[in-house]
Amino acid sequence: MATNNIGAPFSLMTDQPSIPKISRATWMGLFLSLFAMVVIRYAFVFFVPEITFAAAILKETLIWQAQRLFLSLSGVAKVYRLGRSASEHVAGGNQLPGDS
Amino acid sequence: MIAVVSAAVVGGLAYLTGYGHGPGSAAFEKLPLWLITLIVIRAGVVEELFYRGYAIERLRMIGLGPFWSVTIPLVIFSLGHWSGGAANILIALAAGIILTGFYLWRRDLVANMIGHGLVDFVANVLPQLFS
Repeated sequence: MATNNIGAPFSLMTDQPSIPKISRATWMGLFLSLFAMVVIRYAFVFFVPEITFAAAILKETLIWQAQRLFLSLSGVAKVYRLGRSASEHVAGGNQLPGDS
Repeated sequence: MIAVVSAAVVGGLAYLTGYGHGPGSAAFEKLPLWLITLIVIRAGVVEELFYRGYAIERLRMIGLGPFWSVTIPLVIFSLGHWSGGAANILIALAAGIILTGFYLWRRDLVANMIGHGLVDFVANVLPQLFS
């Protein structure tokens, strides 16, 4: 029996892989969202054991900067600017702009 | 509703553990009220965005099951409060469970931010306003 269909796609196979490719922006966003605040807090507890006014200002500034970086990387800010809740957007299974 | 439930649980745990009377809390209370208010607002917005709105959804998206995508951010959120001692970790864990529950139920991140901010406001700013 002739079998010249080697390499041909199986009828149940699809072109789409089952696990979607995860972009670098998603990994960066996840890393920042999970660890940025912990790292900043740990650094301040380590270097400035007693909280002072200046240390508190610096810590808050760093956390806001981490959030700004996170927003620009993940594209959540762009979604909010479009007037749509990020949670609704993500919960709907949509791609955020930074994930493309 | 988020704020009321969270405040009741957090207040109860703080009372039981005696949290808020250590040297770290005393130093925090010496900060100006406007800065404490700013920190409280920041905590509500940033922590909810980081640990609920983004992390849970993205961990689900990369293939983790519902349990781990909720537990990983919750554990990191709780352990991130270790600078206030074991009591603070326990309080953060309890508040985190409630906030995560509300987020999974309503998927309303803004409500979570307001609820989180209000709990911190009641715990940190109101006592100073009336002292």
